[in-house]
Amino acid sequence: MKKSRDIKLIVIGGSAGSIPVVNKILSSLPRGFKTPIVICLHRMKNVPEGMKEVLETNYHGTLIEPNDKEPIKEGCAYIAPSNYHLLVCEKELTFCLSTEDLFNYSRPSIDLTFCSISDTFKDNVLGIIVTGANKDGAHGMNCINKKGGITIAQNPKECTAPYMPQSAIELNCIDYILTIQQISSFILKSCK
Amino acid sequence: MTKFDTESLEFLFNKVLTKYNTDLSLYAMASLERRLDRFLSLYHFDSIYHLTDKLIQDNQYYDFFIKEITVNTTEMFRDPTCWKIIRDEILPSLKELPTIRIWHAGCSSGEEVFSMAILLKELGLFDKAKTIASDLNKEVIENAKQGIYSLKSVPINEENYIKSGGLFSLNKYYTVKDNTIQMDSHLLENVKFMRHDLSTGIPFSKFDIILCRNVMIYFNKTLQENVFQLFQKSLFKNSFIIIGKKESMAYYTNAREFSEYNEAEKIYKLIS
Repeated sequence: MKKSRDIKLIVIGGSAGSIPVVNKILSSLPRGFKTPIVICLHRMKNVPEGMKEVLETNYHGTLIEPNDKEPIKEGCAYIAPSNYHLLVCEKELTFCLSTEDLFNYSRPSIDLTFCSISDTFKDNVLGIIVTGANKDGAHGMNCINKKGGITIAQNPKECTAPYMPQSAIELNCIDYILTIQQISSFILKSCK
Repeated sequence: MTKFDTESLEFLFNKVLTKYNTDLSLYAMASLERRLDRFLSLYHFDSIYHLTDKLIQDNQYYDFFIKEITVNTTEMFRDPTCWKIIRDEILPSLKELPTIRIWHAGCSSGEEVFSMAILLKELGLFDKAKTIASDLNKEVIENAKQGIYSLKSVPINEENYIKSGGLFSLNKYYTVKDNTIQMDSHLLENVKFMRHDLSTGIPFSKFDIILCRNVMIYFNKTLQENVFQLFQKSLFKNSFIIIGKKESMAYYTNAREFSEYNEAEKIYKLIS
């Protein structure tokens, strides 16, 4: 299948063990990196503090936990807030939050975020699924793939918890299986 | 998820608006379409048109539909740090008033109504309070009045209550019946429940505190603007509006007429 090279948005999902992985990816991006990044990681409910500080260490852009209706901007990375699902409003390119029930035992749910983003950004999405011990995200990667976006799973051999990327790989919706370092290089090659 | 075409959505919205005076086109589409998709597959409708016919013919079914497509998940003392500010600062600052008027706008199944009543009790302000609890949906109002919740909800509610500075144990305020808890009905003595649609609502009274938490996230920007206007008209000067932790007043045209009393907890004070 011919894939678009025009990546307008990067989405990253993960669970157990994913915080250092996402930090490595973010900190590998150069100053002035433009493509917005949306990060959806499972997090402890009612322990909202701390994750943001760890993730943004050595990251040159701005890391934001968006409010409802906050616009998506270049040069920023956005992290799904604790205890909310993170969706994207189609027309306005703003975030849209929801407190509806847990999905795959999770709120935020990676599937909901990924599907909502692929509905809006179609084939201009780069989806990345990293380490995690839950199948949440596999269906979302499938959504991204079906809309023509590019999909990357972290190499399960390198994962603290391989189940999450493995579940996506089993759906046959993954274009590339890469290590963290290779993921960073891929982003640098294909995004601005 | 199925994406609906604009034409079928407009058909549904127009029919519902004409018959029931609720404008669903002002809702946040990302969430609404998800809920519609879920509703259609759960209740076996093969199209939006089929669903629309049923809604127009059957008022009771319409109420059920509204309950199902709106999101009613809530907790007692959700975001305990916010409730701690209400306990330690907001309510004490109002204690000299002869009456403390409170509006829970979009009260859902009533968890926050009980939370507030418990706070008022523990602060000795219970008899001063006059509370309105409103929701779009009749069924959830009935649930709120009954005050029966799942036993499963107890651990998180108890944890929130303690973190918010609760003085006792939450079980002081309920009794256990099978797999449910029954809240003490005296807590609702000063509460009046009413059906009220924020999307068509006009001001009906003035308040010292309005709580509208995680309700406006389901509205689009236009409706959010209208609702903020409604709230502004419904507040006394120097009184408070408290919205959800990840909601923001920043996009409201008259935001400057409010001060950020506590930015992190989204507590604003009307200053002009």
